[in-house]
Amino acid sequence: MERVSAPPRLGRVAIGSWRWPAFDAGSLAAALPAFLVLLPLIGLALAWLRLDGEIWSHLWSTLLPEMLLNTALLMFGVGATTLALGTALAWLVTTYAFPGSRSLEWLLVLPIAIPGYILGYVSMSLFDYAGPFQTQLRAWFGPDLELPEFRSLPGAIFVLSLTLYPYVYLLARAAFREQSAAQRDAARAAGLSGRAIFWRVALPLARPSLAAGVALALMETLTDFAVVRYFNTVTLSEGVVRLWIIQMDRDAAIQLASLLMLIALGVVLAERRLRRRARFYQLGNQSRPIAPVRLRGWRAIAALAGPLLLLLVAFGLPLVQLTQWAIAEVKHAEPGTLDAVFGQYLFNTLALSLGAALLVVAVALAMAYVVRPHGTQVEAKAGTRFLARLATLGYAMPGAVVALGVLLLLAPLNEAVLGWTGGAVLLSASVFGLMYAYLVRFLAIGFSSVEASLEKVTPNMEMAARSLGAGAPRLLAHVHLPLMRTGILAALLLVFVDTLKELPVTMFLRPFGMETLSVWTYMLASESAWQAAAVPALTIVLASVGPALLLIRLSRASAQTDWETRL
Amino acid sequence: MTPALRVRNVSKRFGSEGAYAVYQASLDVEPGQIVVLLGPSGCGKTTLLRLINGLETPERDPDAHIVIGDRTVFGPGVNTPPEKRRVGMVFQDYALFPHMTVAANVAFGLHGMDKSEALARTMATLDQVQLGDLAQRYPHELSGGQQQRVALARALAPQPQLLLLDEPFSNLDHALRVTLREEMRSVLKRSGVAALFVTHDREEALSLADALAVMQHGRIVQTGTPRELYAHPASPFVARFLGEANFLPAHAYGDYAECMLGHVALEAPAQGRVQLLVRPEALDVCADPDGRAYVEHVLYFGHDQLLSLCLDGNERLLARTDGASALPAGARVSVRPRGPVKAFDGWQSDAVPEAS
Repeated sequence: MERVSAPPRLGRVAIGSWRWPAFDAGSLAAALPAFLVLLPLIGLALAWLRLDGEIWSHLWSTLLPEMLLNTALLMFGVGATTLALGTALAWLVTTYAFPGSRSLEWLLVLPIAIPGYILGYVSMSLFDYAGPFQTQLRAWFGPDLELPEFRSLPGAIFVLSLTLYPYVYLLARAAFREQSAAQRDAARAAGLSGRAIFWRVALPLARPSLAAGVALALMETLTDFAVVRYFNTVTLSEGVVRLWIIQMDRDAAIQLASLLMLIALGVVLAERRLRRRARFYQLGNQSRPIAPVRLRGWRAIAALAGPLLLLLVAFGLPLVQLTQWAIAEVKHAEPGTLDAVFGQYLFNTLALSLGAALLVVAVALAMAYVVRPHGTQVEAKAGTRFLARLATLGYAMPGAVVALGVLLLLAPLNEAVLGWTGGAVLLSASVFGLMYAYLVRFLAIGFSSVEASLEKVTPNMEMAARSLGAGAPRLLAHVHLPLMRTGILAALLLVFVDTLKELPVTMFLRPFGMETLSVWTYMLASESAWQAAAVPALTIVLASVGPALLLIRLSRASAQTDWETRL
Repeated sequence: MTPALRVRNVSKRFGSEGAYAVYQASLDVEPGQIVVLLGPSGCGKTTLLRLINGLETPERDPDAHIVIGDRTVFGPGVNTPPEKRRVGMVFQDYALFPHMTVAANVAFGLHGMDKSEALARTMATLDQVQLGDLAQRYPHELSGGQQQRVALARALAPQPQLLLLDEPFSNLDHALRVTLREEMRSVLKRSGVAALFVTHDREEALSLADALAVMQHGRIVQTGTPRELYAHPASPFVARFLGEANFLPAHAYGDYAECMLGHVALEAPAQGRVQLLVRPEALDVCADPDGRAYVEHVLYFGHDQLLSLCLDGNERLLARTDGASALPAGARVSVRPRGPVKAFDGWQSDAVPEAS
């Protein structure tokens, strides 16, 4: 059934006979997760009150200028590359049909499954001076062949772009899909050529989605400290990690982290600005999908070959290399040693990821129920919505920032707890702190998925069920749960795998001696123990493939998608 | 006989300072009767439905009551939750459960009933709306009209005493709407359920209703049969809402009035300044070279035509005449009301003072 616009909402019903008092309790309940998420960030922001001139002048005279420059160049490079790659690929698969184009559509998401700290070291092995690529080139063109240094800023941009372009691709693809044939026909009737339609119609219409995609890629770039370290490039994130973990200069680390937080906030606000000035909705369902243009001959070959080459470099070769190493490692390992270590780390990882997934989805569910409009409200109160949005801000924050914020927050608590328990319990370097940080970081992912699924239960459906005699338990069990099941499962899976891959937060906050697959991979890789790192790395990649494919099914265009909605 | 629904003095405002969405509404629906609640959007008709089915709570008022059959569901100290009111609901967007088959949707309200009995009831109800062979389909596999009938069957299956329908046809195209309207009327009549039907479409209201209640600004301004309301509207608003209407300022002198059409007989005596209600179909229009009006333009419908007449002095009138008489634009005509006309006091506007 076609509908010109969404049906007017008659309001939402509170479940059962208990009702939320219209605003107060509701906004309070929404405020709680928002408060929890913001607390560590506020703590970090307070560092500005104790602005330490000495630290800053020291930083300025040493690495800060280089960090700032590198961070800026890295963000610019990754932003531009992911924007170009993601948009071009999305345009290709949505506008043209050629042999293999349907498979390409989902294959192109796969590189997101290899985290930067894994792709980084594998690319290093493939493309660095000693790697097979350069060796082969030297064999062809002679030993004096001069190639640019791969361990450099451009190298880091190359690696990060390869793993992050799918964010732009997913959102751009959804946006292009949602544009209607009528819009393009109108453009064509106005005399625009195919190229002009792309530049003057399709691209401007997709701008909000593109901005959201690039913002996501930039957030991930800001979080990264591992790739830049492999590539000998100091950035702010890398600096925070180094100051904290290696140089143990905590005050300086905190000051630097608060600067990093400001930059992340800047990304969020910039994306908002780009969005606010352009909200493009295609009202209602599009009447007619855009018929793809069929490509033949060499055009079809080129259209297929280009993306395949990209996939080979970003996914195929790394996967083959990792598999080879992993097999070699397993063969040559002392019997029993690998099993024990791997088993223990795998268990730690799975337990942490499962715990984080359950915690995040539980909080997200509670928040989604509070945020939805109640009674005759057509929309939730602006205040409640704002709080919910704040609660998802943690996703935009680099892992190091979240981790330090949580540490700062828990430090005083720690001392108190230490006093009570006689030193038996340490909060900050405990699973508690880790879980808290995961919640801050991943609440947005859980919330957007859960909220979208709750929207499938329309207010009228609830009214219908109640008028048919269903009380709260039956309403939940027979209407809400079946309709939300997929969304909840998707949220669980996404948070689970994001936690499994997560590196900076886990590095900072893991209890002493509690290694995870991601930390283990990074440690080994940074010591150039590539072969040994392959076993946990391959596990992470294989676990991430499923959710990566899930993303393409969940991706919607994003006139409505906020930056926090990465689905 | 006890009415199927009795509403007395029910009010609702949103926020303690807000205007009343519903003010002192009183309404009866007799068993088996179809009552249509008609009014422009925003007049409070949907809020009234929500007050009746329990999704909103009326303002506390010792005189406020809602009685369904012999059960008081709202009154002093009583407020039955929606799931215990046993009132069927049919929605504008049907609100079918997308994850259940047609049969499961219809059986949803038969929870707690013996399995085989529930199945029999489900199939019988589906047959009633002629959807027996689609029982195993899912809602998204059905057309809009079929979904609408599933929604009706789902609401009827538990055999409620009262059925509430909230603009159930507004998402359908016109032709389908007319067919379904007749079909729904016969289904409702056969099942014997009392129905309260909300709409803003007067054609739908006039053709479906046993009784009409017209709402304006949260108040029920008039109730009666469709014929009564059309012929004897209580206010210019009701007159205009139920059909095309001309209002002529006039001076009344007992049983006649003087207006731009000259000397006109009144249905009931009046004095002083009045407004005359003249329905377009109650005007006689004759070609007359000396007439005081001319035809401005013509909307031709085949069976009849709508003439826009311009009187000297630039007043405009609508007249509906037989499609056979050819009156070209520009033709001079004479215009007379066919019989005595209704007069409203004063040259009042439509507005009823807002409840505060």
